[in-house]
Amino acid sequence: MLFNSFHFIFFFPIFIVLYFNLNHKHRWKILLAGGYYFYFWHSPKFFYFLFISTVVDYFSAIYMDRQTEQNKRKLWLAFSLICNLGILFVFKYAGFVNENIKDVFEFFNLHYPVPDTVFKKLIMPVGISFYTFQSISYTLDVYKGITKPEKHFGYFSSFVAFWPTLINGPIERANNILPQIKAAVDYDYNRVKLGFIRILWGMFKKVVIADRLAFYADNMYFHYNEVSGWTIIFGGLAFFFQVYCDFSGYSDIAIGCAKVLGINVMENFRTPYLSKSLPDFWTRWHISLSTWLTDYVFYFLGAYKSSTGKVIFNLIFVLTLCGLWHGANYPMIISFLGIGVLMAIRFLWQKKVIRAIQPSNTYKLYKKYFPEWMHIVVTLSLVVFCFILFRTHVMTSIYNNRIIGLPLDVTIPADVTALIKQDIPSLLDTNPIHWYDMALALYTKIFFITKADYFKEWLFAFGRLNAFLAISYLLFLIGVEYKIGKQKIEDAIGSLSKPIRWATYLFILLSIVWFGELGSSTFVYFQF
Amino acid sequence: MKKLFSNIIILGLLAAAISVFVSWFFPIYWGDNIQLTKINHYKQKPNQYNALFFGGSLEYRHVSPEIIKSELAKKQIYLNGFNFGVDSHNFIQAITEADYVYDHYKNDSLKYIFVSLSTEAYLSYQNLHTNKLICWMKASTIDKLLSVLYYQTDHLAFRLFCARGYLMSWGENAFNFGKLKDKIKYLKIKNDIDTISLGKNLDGFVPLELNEKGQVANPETEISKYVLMVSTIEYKKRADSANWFNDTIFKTYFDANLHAKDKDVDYLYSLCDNMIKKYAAKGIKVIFYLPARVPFGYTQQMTVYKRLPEENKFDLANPKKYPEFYETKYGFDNFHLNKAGAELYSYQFAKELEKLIAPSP
Repeated sequence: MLFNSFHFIFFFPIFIVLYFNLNHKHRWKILLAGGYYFYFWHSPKFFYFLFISTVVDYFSAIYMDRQTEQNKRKLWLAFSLICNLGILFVFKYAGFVNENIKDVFEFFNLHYPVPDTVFKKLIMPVGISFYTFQSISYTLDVYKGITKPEKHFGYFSSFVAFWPTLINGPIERANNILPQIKAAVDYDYNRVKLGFIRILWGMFKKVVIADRLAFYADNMYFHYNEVSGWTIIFGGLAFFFQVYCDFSGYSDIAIGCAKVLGINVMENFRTPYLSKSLPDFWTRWHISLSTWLTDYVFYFLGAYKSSTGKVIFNLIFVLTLCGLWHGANYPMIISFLGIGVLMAIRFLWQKKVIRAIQPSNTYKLYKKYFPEWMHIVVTLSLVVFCFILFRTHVMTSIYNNRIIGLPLDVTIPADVTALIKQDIPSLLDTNPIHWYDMALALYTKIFFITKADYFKEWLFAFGRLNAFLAISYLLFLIGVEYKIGKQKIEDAIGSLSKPIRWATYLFILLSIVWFGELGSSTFVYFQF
Repeated sequence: MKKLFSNIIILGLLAAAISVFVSWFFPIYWGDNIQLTKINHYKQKPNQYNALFFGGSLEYRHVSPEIIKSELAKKQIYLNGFNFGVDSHNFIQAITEADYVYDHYKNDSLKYIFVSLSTEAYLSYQNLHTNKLICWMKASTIDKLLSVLYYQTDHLAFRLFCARGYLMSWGENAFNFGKLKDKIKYLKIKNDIDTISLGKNLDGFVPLELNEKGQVANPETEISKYVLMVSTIEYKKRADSANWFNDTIFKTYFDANLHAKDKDVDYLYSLCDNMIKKYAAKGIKVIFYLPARVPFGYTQQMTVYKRLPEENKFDLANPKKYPEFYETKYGFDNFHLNKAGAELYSYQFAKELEKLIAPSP
């Protein structure tokens, strides 16, 4: 089920009424039923993978806890990891690995027996990366002794299938959610109100800003041959803010829904566009994933407490893993690998240069001529630079299936496309491009900025009004988030005087209703 | 929990009230560029036309006021018409539009209103959420559409599906769901006249035709160009499909009485009857006609048609009388005639009309 669907509008109020009218001892039942219903509605074919993951981790943790020998504990942990990561691998990575092996075989003119079609038929279950990581974190925590295994299968199942975070995160931890599911939470008007404010804000970010910015970002990719450097820079920025508003919007809705139910979920974003460095960005963007990778991989590898070479390896490895989590394709992996390399360079710069000059006047000059705002600009530029690559995989595929002469933003019904392929194949592009063709063209133009000839067309491709709305709402969002600082948006709005608060509700609601791109899309992170 | 839900309802009502107030300032055709053009052209000099044609693509693409005018002129009948047909408009939209045009643009010369008895009230799924459909969904249109659906005898689930689609479209229009941006855009183009939608003679008739490059002449949008291209290529390629389509509609034409029950058509008939009476009082004759190639067949239209007074109707759909309208030679696709077919159709239209309005010898 999508948060931005009509179905959810009916599901949520019914769920709230049932949830709060049930004795807290039995609430796990409604949470579990809600979770499976929520998932089943979106992916009826795949809900049994969710169940398998739940059963495997429930029993692994219990049997692991009963073992006194470390080796046996490790065996149960390995069992859990193999089952969870095995399912994830088959659905998400097997096709990619198979394709690469096939390429190697072909390079050496050898016959490769496994055809692509075997894996292309597999459709990845929605949210599998999210709930698998959430489930794995539980067994890892039990293994480390951070969390006690949950004996009650119902509570544990409702944690794994906790619907607000089930298909798109934040990736939660058992020691945060399980005690809250068990706790006797009463209906509290103020808390529920704040939850709804957060939901409204998330919806605003998604349908008013993210989906509108998508027009501009997509348009930049579709015209990769015509765009000039400035268009790519602004297109890259549009894409960055699109992904930010899309994903943080989803997280806001998830956090708001959980808050209504009396469960506090971790924050997933903290104004990442104001990061002063790449490590700082890492702590503000998709926080639930970055802390997961930090806690279970980066620290496991030794984090910063290793030799310089090892730290560099750790940084690059963890970021590459992050890219791999996002998608089994080269553009995604390379864009995160790029961030990892940049973080490693920054680590070296801090260690070898900054520390060396710190007590001197040179450092004072460095601080004077490279103030905080410049750090923010440089960090954002580097992230946007890497993110441009992020989407070339998806965009190349859309580009190659286009119909010559028809604007790429026009949605053609699938049956019409099929008939065009069959009846008028001359309308289709006979020379498909690869992601690296698109990436190379875009990056080359950034470095050789010429006259911004396409910029105006790009900006007004969807009308002046759309451009005005996109820019105005984005500036409004940045202004609000900058103004409230570390305060949560629901607390900031909730603390306003009643008339201003109601005016704010109306402004956000009418912006969604009037200017939202309603029913237009799913969330970008659904593909992960 | 009562406080929470009451506050949400109050907020919703406030937002709805503001939205409805804003929608009030937009005319019924704000999202339909073809209709906008036709109305803008017509309102410049409404008095020059004494006949208006309303309907969907079966009128827009088939009925040439210019040919009808010249054919009737040979019999000393002056009929200068304007074609208000718009692709995918159904019968309810046609009569709503006729009322709108008459009420808003005074025309003392008006003598005839022609309304096609084409598709009843069923929803074209591909039009769902489009401005073209949404803009027509005012309370009065919804009332008529839902009443028609209520009296149909088709499967309840299908009727509920259509009703849901119309109600959603009405909500999208009334509360501006994601549409205010498009409504603001309308303000910018509200006086534009796009001559492509008016046709060569500026009479609102634009036939469907492929030019030598295989493209459709006068495509209103990029996408429709491709949809039509595929549609006609499929039609030419699959003669069996055309025959099957013809067999289906012929069956509904000849067996209409066997299938339609009176209660289904009572409401549709009452709409026609009210219209005839309303305009007769103003000295205007409303003429309903059965067009050729109706997509869903003639079951109900034929029954309504048979109940209408002889002086207010004529039939262009009869496959025995007009077999040429169903021939592949004159077809553009399953539902539409090509340019030659449309010219022949307009010629026959004039002949049928002549029988109805020619002064007695």
